[in-house]
Amino acid sequence: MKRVIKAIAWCVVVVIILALSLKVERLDERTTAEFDPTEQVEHFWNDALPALLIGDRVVGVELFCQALKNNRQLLIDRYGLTLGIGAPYSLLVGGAFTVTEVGEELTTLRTEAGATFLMRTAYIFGNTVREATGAFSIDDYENTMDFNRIASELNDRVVERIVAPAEEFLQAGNRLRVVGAIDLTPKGPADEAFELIPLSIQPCE
Amino acid sequence: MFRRLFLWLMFVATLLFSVGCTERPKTTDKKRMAVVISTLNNPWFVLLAESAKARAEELGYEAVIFDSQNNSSKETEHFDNIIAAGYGAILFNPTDADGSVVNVKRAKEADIPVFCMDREINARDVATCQILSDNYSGCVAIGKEFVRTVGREGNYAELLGLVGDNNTWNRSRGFHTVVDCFPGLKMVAQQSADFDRNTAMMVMESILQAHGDLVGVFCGNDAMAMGAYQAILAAGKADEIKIFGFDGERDVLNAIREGKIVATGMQSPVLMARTAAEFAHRYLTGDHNFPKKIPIAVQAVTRANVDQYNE
Repeated sequence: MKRVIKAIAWCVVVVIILALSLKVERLDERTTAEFDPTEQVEHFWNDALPALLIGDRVVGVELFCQALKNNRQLLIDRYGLTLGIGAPYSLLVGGAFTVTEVGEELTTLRTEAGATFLMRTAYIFGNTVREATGAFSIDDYENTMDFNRIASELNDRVVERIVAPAEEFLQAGNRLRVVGAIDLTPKGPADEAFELIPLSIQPCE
Repeated sequence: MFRRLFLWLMFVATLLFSVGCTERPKTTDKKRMAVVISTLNNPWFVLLAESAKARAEELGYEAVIFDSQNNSSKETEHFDNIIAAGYGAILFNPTDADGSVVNVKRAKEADIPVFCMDREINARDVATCQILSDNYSGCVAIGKEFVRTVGREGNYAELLGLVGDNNTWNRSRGFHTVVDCFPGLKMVAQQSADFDRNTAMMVMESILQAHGDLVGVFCGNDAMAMGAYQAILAAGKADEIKIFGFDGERDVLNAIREGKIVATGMQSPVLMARTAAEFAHRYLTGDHNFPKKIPIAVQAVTRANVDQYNE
């Protein structure tokens, strides 16, 4: 009887010590696969982007130019999105333009009021598109590398799916309706020639 | 028999009590902050540490700096001591994006908030907030400057930082996002120099022996850029090989003025450190609402704009 009690006591001790000492986690929860942004970006591109480009997040280009002269900060407060501290504000700008010059990387566009924009058609880098859409939050990603892959994937899509199909329209004198992403800083000259990354290029009717 | 049973139960109770004693202290000292830094063998991290400590002291806290010496086990020892001593908050610069997660988890379990500075850990809901340089965007800007300077053709080398640090790869990816678009630019060597000046000098010397025709070298931090410069100068190629760094250290800013180094990414260690200390203060005074990550913008510094960065 004594031996039985002794054995039970030892078992209890061992079990309790083991239970308090060990933490068991599933191996598949510890293993993190390489993040693939394709699916997320594809979902956004097909399901969210079309509505975004005709929604009230897009500031008309004439209003944009007017606000730059009158109240740049209001423009930033109303439409600008930024990542963290010190980065430029990104926003969506759209309207009718005339193509004035076609270059290897940049196509020059002019508004009816005479403002000039440089539309980037190659070598698209950085976070401008990702931030301007407002569709992706850094807090949703395990690490910033994954978040940066989203930006890179979006930039690649702009070249493949927006610029490449529109190349036939990119000729001096053509009128285009363009919606694109722009970076804006709180300080800068009112006649700044902004670089615009296109998210939609359509010929004007 | 009952006496022996009683003794056994006492034994079990003693064991349970001793296991319980290894757990965290029940109270933390809200007037003390720990500043845990990956290494103090680099002036950039010294500035980060001292700025965090100074801001914490301005806010009325006693602050102590712990040097992990780029060693995860040393970092774990520091966390053991900090948790046992019951510090109120930890301002933390991790040694390893994966390896440091467990330390932050333990601090969280002990109800000690952790605010990561500059370096990231690979976990979303463990640190109270991570205040990080936007290394990727900064190195996109450096990559553009690289192509502008060396052109679209030629062989180049890359010196990586610590391979376990996300900053290393965010910088490398940002740079390659740009440079890889130009097939004429060929990376003939990519080696780690651990963010260390002396290691970078030795690594660069061996790269130069195999590849004497480099047009440029991209270094993941300024300490490595200075080490690479020493090796390139000794090889008599300082005019041919263009050097690019990242951090915005004073000696590199001077080197940019003198034309020895082409560009660097200006990080803001003081801003990151002060923000971390202020967030910790907010936390300890009752505000527990923080974004999980806050990137801080990085500016490219070249000879054209280096004079904006006198202080």
